[in-house]
Amino acid sequence: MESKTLNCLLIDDDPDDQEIFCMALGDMGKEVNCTFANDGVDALKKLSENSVLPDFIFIDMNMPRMNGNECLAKIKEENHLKAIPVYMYSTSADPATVAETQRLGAAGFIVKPTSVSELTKTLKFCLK
Amino acid sequence: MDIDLAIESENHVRLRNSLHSFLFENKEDSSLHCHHYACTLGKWLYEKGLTRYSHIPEIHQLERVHANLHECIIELLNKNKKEKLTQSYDLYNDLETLSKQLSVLISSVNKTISSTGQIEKTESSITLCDHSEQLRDAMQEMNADLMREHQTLFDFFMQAPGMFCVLKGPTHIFQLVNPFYKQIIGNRELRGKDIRTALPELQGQGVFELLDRVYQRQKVFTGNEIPIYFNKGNATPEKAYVNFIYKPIINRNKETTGILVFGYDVSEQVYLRKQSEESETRLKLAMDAAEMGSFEWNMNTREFIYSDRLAKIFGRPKKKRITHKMFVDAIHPEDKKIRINAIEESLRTGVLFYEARIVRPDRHVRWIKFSGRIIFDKKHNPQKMYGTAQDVSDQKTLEERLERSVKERTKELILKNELLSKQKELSDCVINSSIDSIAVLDTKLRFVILNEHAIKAYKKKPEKIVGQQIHKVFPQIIKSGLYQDLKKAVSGEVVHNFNYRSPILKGYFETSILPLRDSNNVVFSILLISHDNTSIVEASERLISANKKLEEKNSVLERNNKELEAFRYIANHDLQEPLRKIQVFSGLIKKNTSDSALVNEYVDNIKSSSRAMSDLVQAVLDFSRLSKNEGAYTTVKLDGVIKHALHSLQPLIAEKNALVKHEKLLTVNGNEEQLTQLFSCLIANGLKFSNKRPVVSISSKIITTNTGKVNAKVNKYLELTFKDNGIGFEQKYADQIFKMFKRLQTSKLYPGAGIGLAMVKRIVENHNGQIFVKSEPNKGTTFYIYLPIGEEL
Repeated sequence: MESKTLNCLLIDDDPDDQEIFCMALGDMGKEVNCTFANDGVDALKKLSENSVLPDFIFIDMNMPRMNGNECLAKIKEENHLKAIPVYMYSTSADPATVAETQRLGAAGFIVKPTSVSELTKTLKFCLK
Repeated sequence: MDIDLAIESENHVRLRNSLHSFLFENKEDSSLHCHHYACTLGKWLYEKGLTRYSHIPEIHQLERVHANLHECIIELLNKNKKEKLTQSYDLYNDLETLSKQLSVLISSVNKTISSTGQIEKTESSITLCDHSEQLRDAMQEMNADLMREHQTLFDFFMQAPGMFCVLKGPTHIFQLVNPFYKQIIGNRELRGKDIRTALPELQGQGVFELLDRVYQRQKVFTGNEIPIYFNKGNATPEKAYVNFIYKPIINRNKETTGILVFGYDVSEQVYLRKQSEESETRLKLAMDAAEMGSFEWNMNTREFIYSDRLAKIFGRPKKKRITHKMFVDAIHPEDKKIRINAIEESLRTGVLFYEARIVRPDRHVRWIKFSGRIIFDKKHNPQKMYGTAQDVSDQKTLEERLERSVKERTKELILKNELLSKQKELSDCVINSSIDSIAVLDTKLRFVILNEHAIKAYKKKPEKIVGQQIHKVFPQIIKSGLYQDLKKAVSGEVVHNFNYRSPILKGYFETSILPLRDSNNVVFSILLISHDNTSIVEASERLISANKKLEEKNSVLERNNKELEAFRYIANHDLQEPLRKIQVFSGLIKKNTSDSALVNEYVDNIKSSSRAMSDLVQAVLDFSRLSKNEGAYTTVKLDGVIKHALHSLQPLIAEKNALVKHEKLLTVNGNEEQLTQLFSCLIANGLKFSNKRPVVSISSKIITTNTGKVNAKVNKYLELTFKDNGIGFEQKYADQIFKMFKRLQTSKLYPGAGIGLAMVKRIVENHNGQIFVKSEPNKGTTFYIYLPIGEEL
């Protein structure tokens, strides 16, 4: 199999969740680079500044300043970003919210799990 | 004898002739003015004659006559000067006599002197032979006769009662004109002038041509009643009717030398005759016009004279005579009594008048009006009856027809009247049974008609309203729209008002104001119909108010729904998040029990999540309590409120070394607990979101709604300002900050449940107020809160 290092961007304002996300990626058994942004505004800034684009983007739904859906919409507006698969990442998942993210072009909706191992399994599936 | 008496006699005849010439021809002779003692004969008489021949009785007589003659001449001259013409003519007559007497006396005296031979013969007289003396006497006699004749003729000419003149020559020159003639032409001087020059007004009247013809043809012309216009000196020529004779004067050689004109004025007769002719014509015309027949009945001789028309009226042929009996028999048998009564009456009064029917021979019945007069003699015996008869059948028929048609029309009118009164009754009934108020006003806005409903509604007696102007009866309407609408209707506009608050009656009315027009399309009245809509309007107002309440409730419900949604989200997400973290970190503790440092870290994480959850639950409880909006609304002194808030915030103020400034605050009506919460939250916000020494300023003032700062529902608002020098935010996030759990900053840097401003907004809404925010990053934030204090709009 190829041994290419994957680049991954997590947009989440909660430092606890950033830490849990890192743990889960570490348990995957392959090398994944992960960068963080504290909210949508911060993320869009980083995406425009960095020359290397991430292979995957994970966005928390509930953030100050710019929420998850707004951030998703902005990314999908940009020609050079819209091809990147975006997964939404939230504590709760009511069907209306999930449907709205699909409409905006999200690749999937991940419910924040109650254990790190559960998250690792989900990320393995996503980063295939 | 030193005087020739014969010559003296001639001289005095001449004197008389001179006088004649003077009188009738205006030739004046100075010898006329000579006194009797100054003339030759007079001198001789007084110097010699009277003394020498005093034995001759005639000589004294001669002296008296001679003196009288001269005196008479002088008097005549004087009278003539004073234009006393009649007197001068009388004197002239006397003079004639005197002149004749003088001639006879001179002749007699002369004879006596000659025969007695006592007269001294002059040389010339001696030369006269007897024969010549005889001849002279005869001559003298003849001459005297001629003179007398001439004189007689002249006298006749001058005194003739008609107009006389003698025209000489072919141009008709006036030679002699008598006073009558002169009178008719206005006493103009004619003698010596030709007629065309003297009487130019005759031009065109045919007189000149006539005279020329008489002169040329030598034939007498006689004309009767010839109208001639003479200029008598007035502005217009006067008309005179004249009978004329133009007679040519022919000499021995059968040549015409002139024309003798004789005429007399017959104007008066002509006028009189014409007048009588005219009145006769008028009478005839009047009788013809009235189609009157006339009759004359001699009551003594029974002779009956009648006009042709009378015969015609009685239907008799013109030629056949009608007797008085036939006339009487023609009277309709039923009307004979009328005639008898009228005749009896006329015998008393002299006046006949009656109307009766006659039956014509062709059985036609006609109505005749008879009128007439009876002439009585001195003993009051009737002599004659003059009368007229007029066929008045047409008039009678007309009268009868008129009477009949009047009766018919009256009957018709009565029927129409009945119909009209029934219609009026019906229309009154309809108008009065209307549930609307109906009033008719004239164009001066005076009440003309009011239906019962209107009278009841106006609560006034009709006699106090009808005829009065509406604004005199109800002065309050002058400033109302109704008055303007009535005026519009007077100018021809139809006004319809669906919902009108009446200035006269309490309540709401649907009003129609209609101009009523006559056949010439001119507005003559205004119809005012008002339908009482008060109950409908009130019901609709109640409905609107209920609707409003419903809407309010609805919006509360909607808000509650939104809040419920938010709670659901909180339950689903915000409360789950710390729980999930607790689960994750519990799992990690279990995995890493050997690493005590890690376990401690994870336990701290679990503690922090539990505290966050507890805060959240408390905030949600606080908020749900606010939603119910419980607690009393009183007059709240904001000075007390801020004092309370600052007290509870004291530890934070001390920690941040913050400065909170405020001036004396006003009083507002509200919930003290909620307002304290509002103050605490906003001051805490200013203290919390700050990266330097926080300064928070609070102020209050009253504003009126016209400042445009607020979406006004009342007249006055209390404006509360909370200004800080904190981190601020971009103005575009102004709406988000009031949303529950919405954060602009991460909770790690600026901890909090994210519910404070949502609560502030709810408190403001509970007080019917409004909240706005102005902010700039790193400069600070100002909250403006408007709480109503005025009356509701």
